[in-house]
Formats: sequence, C-alpha cells, structure tokens
Amino acid sequence: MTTAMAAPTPDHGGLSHGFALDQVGWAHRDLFERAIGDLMARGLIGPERREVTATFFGLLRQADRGSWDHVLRRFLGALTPRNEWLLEVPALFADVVGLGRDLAARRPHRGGRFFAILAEKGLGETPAQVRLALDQARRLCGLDDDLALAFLEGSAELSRRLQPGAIEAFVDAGVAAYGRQPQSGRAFLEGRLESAAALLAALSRECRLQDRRSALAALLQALAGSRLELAPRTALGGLLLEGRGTGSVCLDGVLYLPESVCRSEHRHENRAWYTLAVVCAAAAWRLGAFCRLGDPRRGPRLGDLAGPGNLRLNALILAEGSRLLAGVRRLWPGARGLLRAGLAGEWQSPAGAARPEVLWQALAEDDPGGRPDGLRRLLAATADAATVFETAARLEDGLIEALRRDCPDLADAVLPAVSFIPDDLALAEPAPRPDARRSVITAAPPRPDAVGAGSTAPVEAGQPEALPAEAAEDDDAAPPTAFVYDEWSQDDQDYRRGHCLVFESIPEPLETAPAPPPELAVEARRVRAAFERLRPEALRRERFLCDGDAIDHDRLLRALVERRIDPSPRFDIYEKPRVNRRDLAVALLLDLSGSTGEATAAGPRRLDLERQAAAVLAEGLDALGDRLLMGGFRSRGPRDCAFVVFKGFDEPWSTLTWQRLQAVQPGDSTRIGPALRHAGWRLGQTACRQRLILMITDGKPMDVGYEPATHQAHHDVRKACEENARLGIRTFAISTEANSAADLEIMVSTPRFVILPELRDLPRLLPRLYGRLTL
Amino acid sequence: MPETTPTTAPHHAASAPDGAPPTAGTPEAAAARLDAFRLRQAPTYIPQGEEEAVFAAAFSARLPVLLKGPTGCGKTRFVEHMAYRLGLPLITVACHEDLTAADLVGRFVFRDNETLWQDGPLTVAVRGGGLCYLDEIVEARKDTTVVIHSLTDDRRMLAIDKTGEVIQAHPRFMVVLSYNPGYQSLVKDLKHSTRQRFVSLQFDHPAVPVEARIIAAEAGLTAADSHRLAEVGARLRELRGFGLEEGVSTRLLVYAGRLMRAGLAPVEACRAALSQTLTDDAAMAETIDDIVRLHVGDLMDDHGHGRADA
Repeated sequence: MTTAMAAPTPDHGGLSHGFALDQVGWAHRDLFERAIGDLMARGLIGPERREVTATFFGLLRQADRGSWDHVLRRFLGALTPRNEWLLEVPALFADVVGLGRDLAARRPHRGGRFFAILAEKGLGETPAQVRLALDQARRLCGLDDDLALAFLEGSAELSRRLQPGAIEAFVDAGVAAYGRQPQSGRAFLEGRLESAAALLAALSRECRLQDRRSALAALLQALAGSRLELAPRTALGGLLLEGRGTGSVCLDGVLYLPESVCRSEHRHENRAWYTLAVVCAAAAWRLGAFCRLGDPRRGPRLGDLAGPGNLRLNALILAEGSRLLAGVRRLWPGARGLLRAGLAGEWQSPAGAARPEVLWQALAEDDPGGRPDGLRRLLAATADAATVFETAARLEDGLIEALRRDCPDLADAVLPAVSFIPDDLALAEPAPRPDARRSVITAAPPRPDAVGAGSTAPVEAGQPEALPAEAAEDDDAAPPTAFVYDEWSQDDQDYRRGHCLVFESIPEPLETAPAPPPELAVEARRVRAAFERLRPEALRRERFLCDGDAIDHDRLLRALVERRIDPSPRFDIYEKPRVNRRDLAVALLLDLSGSTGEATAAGPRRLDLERQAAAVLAEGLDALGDRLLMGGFRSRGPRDCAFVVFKGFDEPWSTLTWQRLQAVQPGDSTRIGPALRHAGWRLGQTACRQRLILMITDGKPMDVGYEPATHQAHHDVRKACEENARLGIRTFAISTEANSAADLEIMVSTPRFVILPELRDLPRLLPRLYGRLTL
Repeated sequence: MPETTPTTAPHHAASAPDGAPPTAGTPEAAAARLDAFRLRQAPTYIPQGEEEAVFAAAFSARLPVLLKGPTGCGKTRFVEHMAYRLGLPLITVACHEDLTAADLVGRFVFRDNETLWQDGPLTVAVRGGGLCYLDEIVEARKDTTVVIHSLTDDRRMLAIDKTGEVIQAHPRFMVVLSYNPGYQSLVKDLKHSTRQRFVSLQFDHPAVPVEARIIAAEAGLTAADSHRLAEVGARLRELRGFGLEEGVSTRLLVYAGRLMRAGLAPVEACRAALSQTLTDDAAMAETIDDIVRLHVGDLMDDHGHGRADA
C-alpha cells in the first residue's frame, strides 16, 4: 500500500513526472489514486499522450503545497466525460490548467472555484469557444480575479448565445460596470442583473458588421465588379446624417455600413439588412448612380445636378431611387423578395410611417394604380436612363410642374433616406477618409518586378511617409526602399491596407568580428560532413518495375530463366530514370529584437546563440546545395519594420556573411507578420519547387499598436503563414518558452513549431531539425 | 504511361545486326493506327474571336501552337474542334511531373518472347500525321519537354536514341501545348526556349452571351436559365484573387446546368457544382450561395428562414 502511494503508477515509469501520492494529504490519497488510475485506464493520460500527461502531473506536483489539495481535488473532479475532449487538444488543455494554476497561486480558493466552474458548466463546447473564454478571463484577471471568475460562470452560456464579437462587447460592458462599481461588474458578468439580460438579448439578435464583413466584402466585389471597400460607418467620424435615417453611405469607392444592426426582433432579418445594403450599393455602382461620382466635396452634389429648389432635388431622388431598385430587380431577380421585405420593414417602422407616401410609391416594384400622375410621368421618363447625369438631364420643366401639381409637399423639404439605399446626399461635410494617407502609398508606381497581384503583394513606395529620421534628414541620400504590406486585423476581420513598411538592408560587415569559436567550427564541420553524405544523387534509376521506360537486360534474362522453373514468376524487368534533384530554398529568419540581447542561463546572449546556430546550418546547407537566405527582423512600429539580409540566396556562405551576421546588435520590438510576408516574397522570386521559412524567435510578437491583452499579433502571423502557404511556402517556427504552445498554435498551427526550453541547444538542434524537415 | 486513348500498338523491333533502325511500320500502317484517334462527332464549340483562323493558318504554315488560359475556359474543347475541322487525329497527353521522355517517344516492351518497340503518343503522331496535344505542359518536368524542341522548329524531326531512328514529321503533324499562366508560380512557368517556338493563343472565360450559348448547347437549358448561369459565372470571376484562387470554369457552369436539367433545384445544383467545389471556406461559400440566389433563386430562402443563424 505504501509503495503504491509513493508511486501511484509503478508500471508507468517516468509518467508521474515527479509526482508521488505521498505528497497528497492522507485523506485524499485514495481519491487521487482512483482518479489517476481511472484516467490512465481510459487512455486519457499515459505514455501515448506525453504532452497532456506532463501538463496533468505538472499541476499535481503542486500537491506538496498543503493548501492545494482542495484545488487538485476540484481539478480531478473537473475531468468529467463532458470535458474529456479538452485532453485531446494538448495546448488548450495546458492553457486551461495554466489559468487554474495561476488563479490558485494567487488564492487557492479561486483555483478551486475555477475548476468547479469547469466541472459544472464547462468553458465552451469547441476549442475556439474555450480559447475565447480563456482570453477574456485572462484579460479580466488584470483587473480582478473574481471578475474573471464571474465571467467564467456564465461563459458557456455566452458562447452558446453570442458570436465572438458580441461576447467581447458583453465583457466590455461588464468592465465598464466594474469601473463604476466592482460588485456591479461581477454581478453583471455573472448575468444576475437585468441590464445584463437586456444586453444579452440585444446582442443575440443584433447582427454585427465584423461578424459578416468578409462575406459582405466578397459579395460587394463580385456584384459591383470592381474594387469597392467596406468600412464601418463610424470611420466617417461625426457625419451628421442621423436625422435622415441614413443607414448606408457610399463615398469615394468605400461603402460605409453601421457597425451593428438591431432593427428587427429577429437576427436573421438584421443580417438580411446588410445583404440588402450591399446589393443596393453594388447596383448603384453598376448603374452609375450618384455615389459613383466620388467625394461630393470635390465634385458636383446631387443638388447641383438637379437644379435649384427642393422639388427638383426630390424629383431626382425619386427618379434615381426608382431606377436603382428597378435595376436591382432586373439584374438580380433573387433579390426581389428581400427588397420587398426590406421596403415593408422600413415602411412599417415608426420613422417610415412619418415619411411621405410618394417615396414608397416610387420605390415599389409595381404600380397598382396608386401613383399620382406626376410621379408616374417622372418615373416613365427616367426609367431607362444610364447614369445619374442622364436622369438629371431628363428633368424637364413639364415633369417638374406635373409633380408639383400632384405632390405639392415635395417642395417643402428634402426627402429622407431609405436606410439600405446608399445615401447619396452629402448634407453634412464628411470627415476626411480614415486612412487618406493610404492612397499616398498605394498610388506610388508598382514595382516592375513585383510578383502577384494579391492583396499583400509588395509595392515599392517611392517616398514613404515613415522614413527613418536619419534618412529623411539627409537630402542627398536616396530614399530607402520600402516594401508595403497589409496587416491582418483580427478585430476588424479585414486587412489594414498598406499598414506596414518593411525596409530591407544589408549590414556593413564587422571586419573585427572574431572568428567562430572552435567548438562551433567543430560542430559546423560535423554538420557539413553529415549533410554531404545526405546529398542525393542527381539521377538514379528506379528498377524492378513491371512497366517502365527501358528493359533491364539482366532482369529480363533472369525472368526468362525463372519462367522455366516458376509457373508465376515476377516479370519486373523494366527500369525508369528518376531525377531526384533536391530543389529547395529556405529563408532563415532571426529575431533581432531587444530581448535577444539578454543573456541566457548558459551565458551567451540569445542573439549570439541564434548566430551560432545560423552559422552551423549555413555550413551544412552549403554542402547540401540548398539555397539559403539568412535574414533578421525587428521593428519600431508598423511603419518601420527592418529586414536585415546577412546572406542572399545567390551568395556563398563566407567570411563576409559571417562578418555581416556579427555586425547587428539587438534592439527594438518584434513584428513578425511583415517579416514573414517579405521573406515569402523573396522566396517567391526563386524557382525552387520546395520553399521553406525557418523562423527563430525568442518572444511573443509585441510592437507598437498591438494590444497585449489580445492575440491580434498572433493572428496576423497566422495570416502571413496562410498567405505564404498559398504560394507553396511552408513556415516552421522555433521559439523559446516565452511563447506557449497555444500561442504558437494560433501563429503557425501544429505541428509546425518547436519550443526549446533552452536556447543553448539551438546550434546543435537546428541542423537536426532542418534535416528532419527536409531530408 | 501518359493518358492516351486508344493505346498505340507495338511494332516488332527489327533484329538489326547491321545497326539499322528497327522497322517502325509503314506510313500506311501508322495512318491506320491513327484512325482510332479521329473524332467521330463534331464537338460543340462557339468561337470567341479569331482563334480558328489563327490555328488554321498555323497548321498550314506548319507552326506549333501554344494555348494559354485559365482552368476550364475551353482550351481542350477548342483543340478537339480544330482537330475535327481539319480532319486530324487527336492524341492528347495529360502531362504530370512523372512524365518521362519515353512516355512521349516510346519504349521497348517484351511480349511473346520478343522485344518490341512501341511508339509513344508523340511518335505515333509524328509518323502518321496528327495533332499531338500536350495538356498542361508545365506540369511535366522541364527535361521532358525538351524532347519536342526538334519538332517545333524548322527541322520538324524526332530522333529516337533507343532505336537510332530519325523520323521526319508527317506534313499533317502538329504539336499543340496548353498551360495555365494563372498559377503565378515560377516553378510552373514555361521555359523561354520552349515558349518561343510557338504561336500563342490567349484564351479567357467567354463573355456572358457566348458562355450562355455554350451552357445552353452543353447542358440543354433554356436560353434564359443559361444566361442566368453565365451571369453567375461572371460575378464569381470577380472574386478571383479575392477569396477564390481561380475563377469558376465554364465546365463547372455546364455541370450546374446539367444538374438543373436533371431536375435539381437551381440553388441546390449550384451549391453542389459551384460553391462546394470552388471553396472550403464557409464565408466564401456563403457569398457564392448568395450570388447564386440573387440570379437563380431567392435570397429570402436563406435570410427569410434564418438558416445562417443556426
């Protein structure tokens, strides 16, 4: 019994990871033994599942802190059948356990409560839901652990009812309530307040632009047939359009839509509103409606086209509205029902009832006979106009007089807007475009050798705005070449166009650089010899084939002999040449940020270890014949990302490249996405069949503009990897423990990363890793 | 082996102690074998421009032709059409990265206690006259494609090193290559030494009225339904590089039309043939479905029932 207690699983040598039952209070030992045995019997932990097992026993090792028995008992109790799936996702399980451990480390009872919540309610039903709950909980822990636990109490319910964006909005409201009164904030997040229930109801029927943005942007692109951007209406600043009932505004090639729609009790109707707004905007674009003219501050206004007076302006509004909706019905018959429903919804709304009836009569699909004669004549005269100019030109005085006669109210005031039709009127001065300077950059002439036309294809900016100060001050110096890249915003679910500028440079070699240390030279020679042995033959013959290019005469002879003694001989007499050329290019990226200047436990700085590893690998690749680009990255915000090239694809590994490698010093921050995109672009210039990016980083991506509480930077890295993957470029990351497995799963996904507990081993491990990846 | 149908028949390899080339069959025999590659029925093809005239002129001038264009825009159908119109047998080779020169030129085979030489598809066409169509040539290794170099310049001859033969190409022999430049990959680009031996024809997805006629002819739909499907195609092609790597092919639109013709509801037919085929991304599939509903369905079918909220 004692032996069993001291080593709970004697037949699983090494699996207890330093945990023994005698660390647990005697009262709980039986319970622990049973629970562990049960988990092993069910195969949830054990030798087949080393990561999860290590995480599991990593927490149990806390048992020697007496006050943790209660926490650990709760932890074991949380591994119910409902939560078993968490153990199938090692990194997620590690995150869940990690949060519980952190809470317990601060106050053991909080850890116990965390695992009790996990047992009773769960944190979500999918990895994405659990990850979101953990992210939000960690964010709230920054304010108050109890606030985080209050949120976790209701997180499973929130995940069921709300979209991710809405959950964040709910948490934001909870944080605001906490700011006013901490107790209220906790009660709000637990869902015990009426206001929380009301917000939950509103959010659950509300449709948010960010949840539909990519689908709507694609629909707009497809229907309009040209590049129209989509942006939240808040980007227009304080535009004074509220009184007109404006929902959608189309200015200067950008369609601005409200950030959320909650017009109806039913979410699908709110969702449909967005679709209808996009369909109408696309039709307006194709039919040459007013919004196609661009920014009315610089060009004519609708009133300028119509002529003086409200009546003429309203006549143009009615004629254009009717022409637009007729165009929608003609171009896309499938939108008729939605349009009918949209108009009915507007008509029945309180604001709609106050609008002049003539507006609805003009926009209706057919005329059952209720249209005034003046309106009928106006619409008939302008129905087949090709553009807004043509419509305006057809507003003859006779038509206007007939309209005045039949609809005298139209002369009193300008007609209000219909929410889903782009409001063409610039009744208020619009604020400047949110990213007006973007046009400065993208308007620069494209690189003659730029590859691809994708959204992230680099373009060279002739005069980027964010030049380094020293370059800007030097009048004689040519402006540095900048490569412009988009950056993914997870919050907006869209790219920030031209957000990052990457400046590529080659460092001056450090002529006084010391020679590589002797032990490094030994390792490099060893790796070189190993890689030389692995270098494949350029051409080999594949033999013993039943079908092939040529007959192997020796095999033919043998087969003929065998045929006399064997009733069914193998007749594999053919051979075929196989070109087995190694055709691989690799970009090795070193993190040069300030943190790499810190010394490791072993002594050398991290950057020095990165350099040594890079040098050893370069020696090996020189022997193997693979093409290597060796570069480094660091940044000072999105407008100043440095990409330092130590060795180009076509340069040999030499003293010069070693001296360049020694010349750089650590500094600045870590913005990985632009570096990956630029490396991908450089790799795209090579004609190799296989292309690989090997990235070594010592910390989390962190730079100006990244919110520490979110994973915005991680998602951008993931997007960059996906963009490269579409070009056939694979990314593999080597990280220190500064990044958790969950971080790296977001960035590069399993199994394309390793986490090294000790960077000291990097020079030895990097060539092995490379061999495993490519040989 | 390359995918060619029907298979080429083997020749008896001549026992040639004096080193003379093995018998490769008479031109008449080669012509008879080639007869199996003739198209019996005229393929449906609707011209988009001057491509027929250019191709016919290239044939009379004995120049090889390179067809460029996106997936499913009608390159192969055009070659079939021209082969039929010019009365040429058509031997199609679908290129892949394991294709060797022997797969094109031929090889020795052992059969009935004899070593026989079997012409490859290229040699069959060279001997008897015909149109050898190497489809998606960039998929083949570059060292394989050089075998056609001597056939695509003034020499118009093929040297077979294994038999020692040098074959002068039949007057009615022609090489046609096709490739899709849209791959945007340096690996899958055509070498200039190959490219500059050809007269080139650029293909693109047809305009809506032409594509509607193609769909009507191939799927048997009414003119109105065909036009709507062609409109769907035109709209979906706007998404190329904006979520879709390739625009929708005419072939897929024809498939959708055939499913509709077989009785499937238009939206369901397009979901099976278009949205689910073109993308695995849920948001993009939703967009494609919306575009389809706008043209051949009713958007209310989705939004009215809140299906997407589920």
